[in-house]
Amino acid sequence: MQTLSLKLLLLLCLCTGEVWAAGSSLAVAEAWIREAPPGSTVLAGYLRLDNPGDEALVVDTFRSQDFERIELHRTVVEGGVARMLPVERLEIPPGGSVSLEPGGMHLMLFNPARPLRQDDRVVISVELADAARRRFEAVVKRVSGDDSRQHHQHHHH
Amino acid sequence: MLVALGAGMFTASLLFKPGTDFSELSATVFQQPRAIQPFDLLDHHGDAFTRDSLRGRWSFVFFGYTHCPDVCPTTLSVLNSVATRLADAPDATRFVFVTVDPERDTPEVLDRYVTYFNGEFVGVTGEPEAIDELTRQLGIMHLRVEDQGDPASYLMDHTASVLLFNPEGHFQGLFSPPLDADTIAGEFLTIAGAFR
Repeated sequence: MQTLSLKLLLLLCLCTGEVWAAGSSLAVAEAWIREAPPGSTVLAGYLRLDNPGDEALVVDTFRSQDFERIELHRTVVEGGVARMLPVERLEIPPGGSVSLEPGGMHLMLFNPARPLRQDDRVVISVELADAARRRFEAVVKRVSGDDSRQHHQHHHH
Repeated sequence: MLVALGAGMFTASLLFKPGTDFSELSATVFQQPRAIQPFDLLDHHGDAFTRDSLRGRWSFVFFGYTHCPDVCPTTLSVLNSVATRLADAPDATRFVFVTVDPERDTPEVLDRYVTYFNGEFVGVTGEPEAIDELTRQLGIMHLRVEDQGDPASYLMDHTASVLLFNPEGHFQGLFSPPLDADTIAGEFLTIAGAFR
């Protein structure tokens, strides 16, 4: 059903010739992947999505040749219990930004095709609901506990 | 009766110095430390890890699983920073990661995982029933969440707090998220100092 409506939307866009217009306004910044212990089959990716345009953008999927599949999840801590919930719909309001960061929303990157170590680069593409697509590069970073702290308190140098 | 009396006296000997007040701390500290039931688990070398393995030092214990890309690596990185800050502290410490996913987290998997964060960290796994018994008595929640698309990549909901055990191996308190290395290290010194 979702695929069908997507195809219809794509068809509509093609007819009106506006297929890339919305996509061109999405910007991806600060994309990185957390380096994981050797043998890890699930990694986490973080980034910021900016929408400088004047229409809301809806993210459909993320893909990369370096991973079997990518899902969008949100970590929720309730009553001291951490849960990961799939994010069904991610909308970036006009003129707004959405950040994926540790302890919050993140990309779940399943089954890396190659070992990923610090400073490696991975090409990921984000596809929007209007079928527009943007490719971006994420750098692999080794994180220390002091870096994690900065996400809670933004005043450290 | 004799046993109960003995246990009571034993616990009483571990009470904090008079006038100790932990109400300013973000950590939860039990005035009465809790003795725990025996358990039989394995460390990341495949050697026995039991109740006695928690004795002799203060222990920071975190429950998680290695197929956890966000919360667990973040917490273990924070604990590594805590370990660095406490390296020269008067009180010896150990850091233990207990899996709530023993099906996938064998000693070999845990060996690669925990030593990545810190070569001194201890990974613990075992029979699912033994893990359940330990988590039940400590109030640790864990729940398997199936992945509709791929049965092999199920997720686990789990308690995100770091538990603190005193050198007698008794459950002394806990640090709840959001976890911060400076706060945990500083408050630990306050708690441990009240014992000295």
